[in-house]
Amino acid sequence: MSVLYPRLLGDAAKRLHQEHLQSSISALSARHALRHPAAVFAATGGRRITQDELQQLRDDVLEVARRAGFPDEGRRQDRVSFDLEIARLLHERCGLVAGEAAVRPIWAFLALVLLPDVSYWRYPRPPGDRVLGTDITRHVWGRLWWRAHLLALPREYDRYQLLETFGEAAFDQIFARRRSIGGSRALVRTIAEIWPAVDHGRVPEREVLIDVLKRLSRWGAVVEFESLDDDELRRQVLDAAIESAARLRAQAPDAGPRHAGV
Amino acid sequence: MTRVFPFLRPPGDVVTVGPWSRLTPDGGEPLPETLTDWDYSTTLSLHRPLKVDGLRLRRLSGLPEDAAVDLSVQWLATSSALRGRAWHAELPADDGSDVTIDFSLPGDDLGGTLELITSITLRRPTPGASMAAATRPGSVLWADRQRVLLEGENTLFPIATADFHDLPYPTGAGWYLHIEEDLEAAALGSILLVVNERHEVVIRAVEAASSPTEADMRVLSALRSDVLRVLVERALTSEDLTEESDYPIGSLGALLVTVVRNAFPAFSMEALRRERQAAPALFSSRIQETSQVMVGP
Repeated sequence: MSVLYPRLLGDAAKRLHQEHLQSSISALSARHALRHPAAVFAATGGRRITQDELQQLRDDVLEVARRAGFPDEGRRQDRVSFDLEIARLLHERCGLVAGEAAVRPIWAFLALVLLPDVSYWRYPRPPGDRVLGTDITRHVWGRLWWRAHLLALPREYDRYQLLETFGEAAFDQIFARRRSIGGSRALVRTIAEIWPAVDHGRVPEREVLIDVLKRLSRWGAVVEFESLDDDELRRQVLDAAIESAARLRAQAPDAGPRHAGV
Repeated sequence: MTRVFPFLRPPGDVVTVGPWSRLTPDGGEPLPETLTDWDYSTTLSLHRPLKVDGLRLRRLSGLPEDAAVDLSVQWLATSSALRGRAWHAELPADDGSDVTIDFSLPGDDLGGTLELITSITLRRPTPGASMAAATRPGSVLWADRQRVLLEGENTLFPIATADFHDLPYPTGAGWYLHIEEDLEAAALGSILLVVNERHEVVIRAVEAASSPTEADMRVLSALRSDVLRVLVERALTSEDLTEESDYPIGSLGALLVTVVRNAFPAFSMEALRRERQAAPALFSSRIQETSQVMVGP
């Protein structure tokens, strides 16, 4: 049974965000709460999360945050490790199914009520979409749950081994195409699996990835990727990656002498 | 928009599709347009018979008789925007083959509208194929789509109760229909009816919705009418929203267009916008009529 989280609706979320922007991290720590009068549960669809479970989730996130330097600024690399650990933690322990994780006001509750200190530490003075329930692909917590969900390998011992394949900006490119490529877990995992083998020379990784995604989107208009078995899907994605890398390297004459292919 | 395929495809009659049915502990039933008893813990057992002319399909696709061709079913869920493969088999190279599609689909990744796509695809390029034949693995030679709404009114349209004293809504109001701003987002999760705990009459009616008294029914009728009004007005005040708007299936934008179309099948959205502007009282009466406010039980 899916676990239901409180939903912090738009108006209340915006007001809290404006207040939080004026507060220090220590003040936000003091303001965190397990409930908010303006947060509501939907009446159907699962079991309501308990206060104890919310407290446990906060404790777990804080422990990871402290390892990454919280409440001090910390290093960029620490924030990258923090994101990876949190993606795994949220996906393993939140008890959410995908339909509920697509409900954006639950993420606003986590960012603004349960974890305001860690949210505004991870993204100091964040634009609204990092903490409000406006865009999951940008949300401080929601995007990490979805990253883990799209890349998790349910049959593998280390089911989150693909999480580290892409940096945040690169993965955003996949997630932003959620209604085409990004909705296919098989395709997303396959891109992540073959990606380390793609030689993009000196062309930035993100540029190659964008070109691959465009290519796959074009093919996807007449090809059903989900119909392919794993090996054939891997060959198709690899073909797209080789073609993209070769084309971009050819367009960038100063991109160096590294050979085409993988 | 018609999709143009850059390769030969056979006519649709190479496949004769039977109806989708859902297996239940009591036997089977035709798959309805809406599954009101579905929730995330439901595993759907689905079944569909097909008759396929596998040889004719290959020939008319410009493929040799031994071309490797697959029959498969993909699912796509609008609430999660996820998709996946539900079933898969090699398509026999015979005419008049009876094939039975049969699979179970767990509910974890589903929600909103479920689309079931039955497709016949090329598995790999085949020597001896026509120059005009499909070559890329996965090329769709034939496909059929069916949609099922996976939840009843309650789940698609969740209700929450709260004290309006704590919310930025008038403390004495009975309810507030919260609608998110992003028209591209899944409708599920974008709409929430918040009922004021302080309003005893409304709360009593909502709690008694499964066996309401006559007084409760009048309250619920007013509530339903007002919800319809808010949805229609939300649609009409979004000037970008028109009958031709291409919002994704299951999105808030698509839902709003459907709500207006169902409520006012004889009016264009533009005509409704004009009337709402020029004759708001008449427009209000139209909402009353279409929502059948205070009419019958």
